[in-house]
Amino acid sequence: MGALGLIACGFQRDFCERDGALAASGRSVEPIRAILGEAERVLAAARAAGIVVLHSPERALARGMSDSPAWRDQARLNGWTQPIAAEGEPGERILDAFAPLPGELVVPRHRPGALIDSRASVLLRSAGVDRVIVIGVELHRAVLATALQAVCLDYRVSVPRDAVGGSDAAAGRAALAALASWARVVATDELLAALPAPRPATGKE
Amino acid sequence: MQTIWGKPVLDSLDELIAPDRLALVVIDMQNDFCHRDGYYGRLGIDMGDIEAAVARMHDVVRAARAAAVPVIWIRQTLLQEALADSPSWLRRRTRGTLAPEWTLAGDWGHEICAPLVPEPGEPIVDKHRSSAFVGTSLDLILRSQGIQKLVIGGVVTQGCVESTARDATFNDYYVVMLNDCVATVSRELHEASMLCQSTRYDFAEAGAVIGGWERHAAAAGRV
Repeated sequence: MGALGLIACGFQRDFCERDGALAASGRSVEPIRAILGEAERVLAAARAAGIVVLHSPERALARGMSDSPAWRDQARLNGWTQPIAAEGEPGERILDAFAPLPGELVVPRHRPGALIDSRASVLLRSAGVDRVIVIGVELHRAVLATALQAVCLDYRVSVPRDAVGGSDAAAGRAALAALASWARVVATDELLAALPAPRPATGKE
Repeated sequence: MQTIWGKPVLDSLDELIAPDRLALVVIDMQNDFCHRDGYYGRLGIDMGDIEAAVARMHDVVRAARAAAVPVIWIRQTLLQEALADSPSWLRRRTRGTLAPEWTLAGDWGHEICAPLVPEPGEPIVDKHRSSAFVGTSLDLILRSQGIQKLVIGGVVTQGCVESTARDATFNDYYVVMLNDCVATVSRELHEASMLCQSTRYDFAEAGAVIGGWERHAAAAGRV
């Protein structure tokens, strides 16, 4: 069996802060803020276990370079009133609690899914990863899309249900129900109990 | 334009380089490959052809901006401790006498080589393999802009340039190769690769492309 990876989606100011772009579009970010503690716990445990960590922040490129007509159309359908995670703006910054450490992979994405049209899958394959844990926000968008892409690309996928969340509770429940048919949707504690034993802090083979 | 099986197919060089739905893709013109003090320079490789290609590309980049043709920069990218390398890719990268260290993210050698300088907002696409279409956001950016045609140049001829041009056609982009803005570490390798590429892509020299853009601008009345 190959290595285990953790994909952390969208822990950025625009999705998580009360003055971010998501909140500005009229949505409540409180359900998102409520899962951040559990998500931090998963990230800390993954680091302690020496798991490959890939940060997948959303990024809308400057000059509209990553915006197709279809993508703008879905943004309109979704009621977004301003660009989310615009390149170079404060809103795209990853929250301090989730800041990447040296040696961790950081691959911005321009669509909800982390693995297609990005360097992410090349990097995971290079690290020998064949199983991933997906955490993040929003559950019914980035987490769902990333987990589905991972399944289609033949990774085994786990989703700790307490470490994912979004602004739309009903859509989130539906996303988890759908994910349960092809991924391991588990409680955080169950997931953490199954992680490899923590490796020595200084250990490097 | 010609019609084949009822489909409109661009035909003349003038159509292929017309600024509408066109992008300029500059491949791997980074210090480690193009600067005398970079990786290739330190290996003692004759940098004359590569430096000449960079100088001509500089003219093409300026003309592209003047013609409102998007410029997209591709960078070969290694990560610390071979994080971006699979075992098979390490084998390929270390064949022959090549040491496995160049264009490391964050190093001077990874940066685009002067006088080429990306402008703020011009996409920079980092890649971990030879083709700029493998494991990158390049196709997403191009289709987001409705781009159908690429003018391509850079280094090295038989490696990332040829690989990217092939994948561009497989992803349904028209390709025009800037044949005097392409170079590699030896004339022999360059000519062998360009012979193969000449059977697949339209070639155009920098001057012809720049001249074509100027004619389009004049025709559009915005000289």
